[in-house]
Amino acid sequence: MKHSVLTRSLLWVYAGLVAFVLIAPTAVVIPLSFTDKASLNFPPAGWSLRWYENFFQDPAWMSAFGNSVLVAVVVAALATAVGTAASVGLQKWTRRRAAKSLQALLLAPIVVPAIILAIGVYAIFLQAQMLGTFAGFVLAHTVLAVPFVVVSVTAALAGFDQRLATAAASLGANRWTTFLKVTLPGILPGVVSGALFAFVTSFDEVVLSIFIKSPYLETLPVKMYASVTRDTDPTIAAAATMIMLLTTVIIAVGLLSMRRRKNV
Amino acid sequence: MSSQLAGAGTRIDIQNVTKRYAKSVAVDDVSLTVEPGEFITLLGPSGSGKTTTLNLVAGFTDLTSGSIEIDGQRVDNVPAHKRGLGVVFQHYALFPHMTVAENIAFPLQQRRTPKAEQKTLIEDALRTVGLSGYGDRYPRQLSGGQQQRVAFARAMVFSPRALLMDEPLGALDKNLREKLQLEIKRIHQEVGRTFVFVTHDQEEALILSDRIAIFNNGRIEQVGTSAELYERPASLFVARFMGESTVFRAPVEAAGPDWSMDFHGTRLRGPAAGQVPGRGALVLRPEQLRVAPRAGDAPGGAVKVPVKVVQNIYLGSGHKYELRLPDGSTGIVRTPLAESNGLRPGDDAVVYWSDRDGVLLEDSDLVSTT
Ligand SMILES: Nc1ncnc2c1ncn2[C@@H]1O[C@H](COP(=O)(O)OP(=O)(O)OP(=O)(O)O)[C@@H](O)[C@H]1O
Ligand SMILES: [Mg+2]
Repeated sequence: MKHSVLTRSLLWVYAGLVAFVLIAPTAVVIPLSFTDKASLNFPPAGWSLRWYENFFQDPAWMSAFGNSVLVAVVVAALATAVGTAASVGLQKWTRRRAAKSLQALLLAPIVVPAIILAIGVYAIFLQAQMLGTFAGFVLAHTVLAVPFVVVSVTAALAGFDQRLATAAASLGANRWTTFLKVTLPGILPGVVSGALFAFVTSFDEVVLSIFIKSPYLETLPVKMYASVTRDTDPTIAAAATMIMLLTTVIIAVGLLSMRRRKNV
Repeated sequence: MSSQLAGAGTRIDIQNVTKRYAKSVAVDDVSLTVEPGEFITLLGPSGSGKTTTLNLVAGFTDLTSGSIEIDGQRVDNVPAHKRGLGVVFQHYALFPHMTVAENIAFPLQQRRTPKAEQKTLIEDALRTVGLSGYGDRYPRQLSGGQQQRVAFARAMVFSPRALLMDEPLGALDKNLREKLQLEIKRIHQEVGRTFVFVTHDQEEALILSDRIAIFNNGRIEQVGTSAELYERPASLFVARFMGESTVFRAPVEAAGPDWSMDFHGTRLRGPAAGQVPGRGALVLRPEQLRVAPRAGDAPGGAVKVPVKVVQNIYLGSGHKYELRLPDGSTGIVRTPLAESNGLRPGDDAVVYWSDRDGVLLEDSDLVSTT
């Protein structure tokens, strides 16, 4: 297709505008984190690294950060295992209607408003005495993360040639070996991206976390929320910048490693 | 293949096997015994149940009723990975993330074959299929024919009890097909194992097989050597499927050994046949027929039917005639070059044959196709 110069430049301007609207609010945080004043005024008048220093020296911030990473890693592992197993099982289930319904149920946490989920989880955790526990955070976040794994692994399975699994069976491999040595390598990109999504989902989860936190255990986003509502301390901007960097790097590495695998 | 891979064949007993799907019967009461070391081909048109039968033997599909035995042991409830059968698929099914050598090592690893022994076996297998030195390549770096050879090596390397092949050459071009057909035949002779081969190409079946099972509509119409199927077809379907034929169809009078038919005014007779009630179909092969310009040119005792010449094709070694029979169907005649008679399209002629030739079968075609 040929476009005139005018159409092309208009398209560029439009795309640039959309990108700006999407990115600008997030990007504002970056200069804010380098301000030298104890306020969140934009644009900053002078520059410094003191809020980063503050972040790394304040045990409250560091422990929240540590909790977040730990919870996210465990959630990623758990959600990937559960979500992958569910996807494989759903695909093999010959009663397709039932499989479809169950899949919809598994994906529900994506559509159900987080606040509704949060109230439900709060009520149950209160009774089970799991509020503010590590296991509580992991369980709650896993519920939110599993759908992302299911979506990406299901897509990978749809593109996987099931006849390879049949061939493996004919060569003497039982189901487990077939999955580990034939199916899993085939759907690995989907599993990896599912795991990354699970990690990120947990790492920046706020709503549910606010409900189930305790003074003894809170995650980084919870701490940030508390910080921004209590005191306007630019440490939050430093934290936000680092979260952004971390999640961007994780997703980029994931995407790149997938592309490399494809082009071997 | 090397001596390690050679061994006695396996007997496969398929007894009254039926496979029913929700809306159809894919395999309908099929019984077939494959003898040890035999090369048997399942031949039939698309959708006739060949793949389903093979999958039932391999264990990829559960049967609805009947039983399958391998060397006298029932295997219907044994999962595919424990049946010890090698399978070659039409689509190769090589593992894309493994090298050629790793692909071939896969079945050996499942059997915990010692590493050193694996190495020799893999090299042997690669040599057998003519791919020595290709072990480090990935499947996508090979041509279709090479990939199919690797699939073959992988299915043979663990000395399976029998080798099952579902149209393994279906995706290859004609030249390569012919070359690999000869290789498969050679390997079968070398290893002496039981081979079950599926194809819908009758020429391929003729080249490869000791015996052929003709499938139609989920049933086996006939099992036999190619000569048996060609010379003594048990049904009109088999006669039509195995090679060219001319069919004279008419009601049978005086059924029994001394049968006769009135075919548009010509009395047809032939070798004794079984009971053919109702409509009969007398089948003659192209080499059994002759064609002449006038009835007087045919020998006295011959059966003669008037025809119209549709085509006279010069084939170098002889002529092939396409004729229009009085009932509108097509007749095929092949004659040696010495019997050239100058017949041209549109000419009236006479087709004739000896009444010692021909096979009388029940006319199973409800709708005439030719
Ligand atoms: N999974 C299935 N579900 C429903 N029907 C099936 C299934 N598999 C096969 N069939 C039907 O069973 C019949 C036999 O199929 P099969 O694949 O055995 O034929 P085939 O002889 O191998 O044909 P082809 O030469 O085209 O490979 C067909 O009518 C097919 O539609
Ligand atoms: Mg088939």
